[in-house]
Amino acid sequence: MTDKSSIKIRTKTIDGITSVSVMMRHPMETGRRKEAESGAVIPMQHIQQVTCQLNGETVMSAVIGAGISTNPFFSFNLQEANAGDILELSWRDNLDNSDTIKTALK
Amino acid sequence: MFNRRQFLHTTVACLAMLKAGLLFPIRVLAEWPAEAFAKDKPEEALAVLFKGREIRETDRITIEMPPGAENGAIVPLTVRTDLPEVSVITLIAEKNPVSLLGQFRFTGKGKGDYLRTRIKLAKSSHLIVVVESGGELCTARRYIEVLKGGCD
Repeated sequence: MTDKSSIKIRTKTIDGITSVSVMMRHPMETGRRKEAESGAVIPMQHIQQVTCQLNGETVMSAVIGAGISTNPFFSFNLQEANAGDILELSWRDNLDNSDTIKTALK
Repeated sequence: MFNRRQFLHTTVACLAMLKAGLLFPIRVLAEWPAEAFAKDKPEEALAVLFKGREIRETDRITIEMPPGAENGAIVPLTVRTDLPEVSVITLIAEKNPVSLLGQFRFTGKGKGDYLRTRIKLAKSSHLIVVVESGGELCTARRYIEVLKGGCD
């Protein structure tokens, strides 16, 4: 992993509902794509698990395959979240790479 | 200095902690259902995931997608539902080499009434959504035309 986080997160609260938008930098290779020049198969590499916690409690957990587009994007809602709550988002791929980001709700 | 007994105790304790995920906190908890992700037919993936439970059609799930996608590699998708107590949203692409796109589980303050993502579609087909609501499985589907497949 590079120094810069692979995860970008944006939250917005309106009328008690907090929408969380997440973008993760990841190739999401299916294992069926070939390199243009050599024709070699590009090995499968995709995120398998995404977990979102609010103040340490899991609020959303996903299991995904390579059918989610490159640089996965997700948006979902939370209820009864408050300003200052800590949102933590993590992913892990099939090669055991992982990343985590923490942010406080505004 | 550790004597042999202390060493054994410490080792066993460490192993137990490792197993419990205490030494290396594992934040990504859900197990990846490899078998469900190995199926190329929606009904087979559904059978593995829901083990023959009844799935009934509903008009309370809205699937928003463009009617046609020029590039199947990035198809925006929004699922909305007014079903109560949504715990899981499952996304399945009818004619993808791997049918199951993903499963999203909502707990605690996670609401589950809305999910937006971007998916790959191999060809023109239905996108199938299964929502678990109050312990019941409900489904809806939507057809989308794909000009260039996005599953390579």
